[in-house]
Amino acid sequence: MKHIKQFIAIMLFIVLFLVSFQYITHVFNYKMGENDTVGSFYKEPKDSIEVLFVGSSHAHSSFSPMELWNETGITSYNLGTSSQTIPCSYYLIREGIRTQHPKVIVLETYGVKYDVDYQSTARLHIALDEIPFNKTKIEILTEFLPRTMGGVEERLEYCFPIIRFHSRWKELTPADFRAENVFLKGYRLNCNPRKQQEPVRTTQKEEVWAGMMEYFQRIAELCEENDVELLLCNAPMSKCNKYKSVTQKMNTFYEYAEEQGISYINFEDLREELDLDYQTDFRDKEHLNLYGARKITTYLAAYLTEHYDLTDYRDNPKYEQWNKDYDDYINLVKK
Amino acid sequence: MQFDSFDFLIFFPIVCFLYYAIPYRFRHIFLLVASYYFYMCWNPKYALLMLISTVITYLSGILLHRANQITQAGKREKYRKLCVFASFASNLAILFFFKYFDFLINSINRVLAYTHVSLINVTFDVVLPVGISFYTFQALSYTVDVYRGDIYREKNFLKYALFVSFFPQLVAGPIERSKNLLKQINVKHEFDLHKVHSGLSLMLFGMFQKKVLSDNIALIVTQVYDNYSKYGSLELIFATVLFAFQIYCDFGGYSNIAIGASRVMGFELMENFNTPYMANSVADFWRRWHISLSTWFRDYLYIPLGGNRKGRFRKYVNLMIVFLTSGLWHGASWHFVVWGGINGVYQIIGDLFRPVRDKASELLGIERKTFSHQLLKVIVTFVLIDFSWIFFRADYVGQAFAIIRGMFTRIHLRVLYDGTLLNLGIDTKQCLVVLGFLLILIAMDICKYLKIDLIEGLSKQGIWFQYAVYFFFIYAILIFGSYGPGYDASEFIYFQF
Repeated sequence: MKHIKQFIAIMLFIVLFLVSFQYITHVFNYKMGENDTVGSFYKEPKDSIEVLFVGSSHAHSSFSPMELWNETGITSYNLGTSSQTIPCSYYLIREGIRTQHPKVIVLETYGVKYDVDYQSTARLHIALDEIPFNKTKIEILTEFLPRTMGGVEERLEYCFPIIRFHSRWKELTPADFRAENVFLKGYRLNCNPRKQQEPVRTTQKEEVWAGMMEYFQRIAELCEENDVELLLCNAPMSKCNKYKSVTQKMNTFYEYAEEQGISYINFEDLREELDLDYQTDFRDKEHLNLYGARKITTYLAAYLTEHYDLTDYRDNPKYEQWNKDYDDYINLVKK
Repeated sequence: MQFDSFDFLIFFPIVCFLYYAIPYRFRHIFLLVASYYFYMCWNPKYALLMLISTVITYLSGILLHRANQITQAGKREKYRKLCVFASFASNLAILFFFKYFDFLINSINRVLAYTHVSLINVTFDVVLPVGISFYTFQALSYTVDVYRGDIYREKNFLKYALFVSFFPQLVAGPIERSKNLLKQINVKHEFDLHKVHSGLSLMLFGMFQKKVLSDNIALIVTQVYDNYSKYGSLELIFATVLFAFQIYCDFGGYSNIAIGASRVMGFELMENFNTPYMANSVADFWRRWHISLSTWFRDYLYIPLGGNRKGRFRKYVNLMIVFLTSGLWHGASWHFVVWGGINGVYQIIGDLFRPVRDKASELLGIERKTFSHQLLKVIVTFVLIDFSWIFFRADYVGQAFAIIRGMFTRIHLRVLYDGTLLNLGIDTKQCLVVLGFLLILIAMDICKYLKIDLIEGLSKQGIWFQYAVYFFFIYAILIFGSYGPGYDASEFIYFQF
């Protein structure tokens, strides 16, 4: 009897520790701005998302799930994180398929410009930390990170991010305990126009990194295995230093996509159709603001309804929350 | 591997599990292998050095035993003394070469520089093997104990090798005696949940002392001591007071982890720190501070020198020898020697002035048993000890004097209210947290001083309370501990893009 009691006490301790440790890790993890993009994604009801946007800051600046909902009633989520590389996108897509099994994945392809697995350790944390301890996480730790990180100690902080973030106790805010603006669904709202110049379109090509292509292959295969449609696209950029190199790499990449029969939308070719205004639609040299994002989202809304079998949930009482979220979204936009 | 490394977090549970899982007769071999592995994580080559010390002292035991069988008294004593001499000479020679050779050459060169004689050039670089001072002393204690007949020689070499290399206390003590540890190696330790529980609690507390207190305080002390000329009197005093706690928490924390880890495996090591800053005299301090080393010097140096049996003068000479040696043991540098010397002088002065103090308190009618008088003694002792720590912490003697001069000359009282004191090396928030935890430590030490066994007392409390305490310490370490690559907000700030 005594032994059983002791055993239960020890088990209780371990369970309490694991639960509290997971919670504390989540609290201390770095949250991008006010939206905890990846963390909040896991809180969406299972299999409730039909379209998943994945990619870099261009993804989270250009695709607004709430606008898409308002126009079409399609449920979507934006898993764009800062300077996300294609390998990181792969792991997020894996998790997206596992938890939501979306019908379409829209991969924003700014990531093809990188010739590294990750752009900085901080960005790696933002993209991958909230993935819970499962097969995907183990593969990240044992397969992906060792590609570039030698020491176990260097990799350890991706298994236990608290190693990196524990000193954040000084700057914790209520948003660290409870994510704010969850209704943005990963979209990064910005309403400030900054005048930009229209860049000269280039048709030249530049080689892309094989290490990236390897992971893109895996994304394509993963989508095919799971019957998920893959749609590639970019976001228009204004005139900036990176413009030439990024678009040249995308040209190469889209040519490859065409050969493989993978759908893509090159928004650089659709400037007129979008009626893109370089005076009002950008928030900085590279990224669209809300006005630009609305144009992109409207275009995508039409494209998605035309090409894929997606559902309009607007009148479905189960999705009532989405209507409320849209109201919150509009209130925030008005502010 | 360090106790506060991730490696140890993996190593220790595996060792404990296997230790209890394998049959008793293999356990000492297993622990020996684990201990050598533990040591070789620093530098595999140095394990050889430890092995040499082990072999020499092991043989000294065997030979002493043989010598004891010699019937002729004179010859017997001669052989016995020869054994002890050989063991000490060879072990100390190794220690001297690896720890003090550079120091000796440098010191000679400094003297030579005055006389304009050409300096000695040393072409090889000696790196100090980890823990050499600790295990050498531990091994030597065995030779003397066998010589004195306090213990029987150990025939089993593997068991003896484990005594020298037992990993929890191998690199930073407590320096065990064969009378205690060697005997326990021959005892079968059954798995005892109560002991495991108590050991783990002690390890947790030790880790708290090390990671939360010592390592954070070190940031303040390093900032001030490395830039001492920039700081005024109060900052220097603040840092020096904190250093007293830094070194206590570092060393005491390490000892607690060692004692706790041993207890988990059923071994009971000697206590190493007993509320040292509650001491009411310098002599009392040395009965409470690094007890395993102080008693080593008492048993194997002070008493053989004659202790206090040969008159007052000889007693003082012996005291000075012990404390100067102790200083040198702590590090091959003159500032350690001065530190040791100061502590010796304190005790001699204290002893010389005892009649004066007695007389004075009698004349002034001071009631010596009152709390206020005891408190005063504790404070005075702390100030004296802390003063000597300046020499311990400084990089060289001249720096210590410069710091002391700064303490008395650069007095700026505004630092008391402009927040300077809370912003040395760490920011105000962190400093306040550390000071708060320090108060907890002091409160716990006061409990211990009052003979309240907190760990034992905790185990009698309701389970919710026990868990609350454990989680408090675990998360104090995880959140406020000093570890990891550090988080720099500016690296993350541009992530809107």
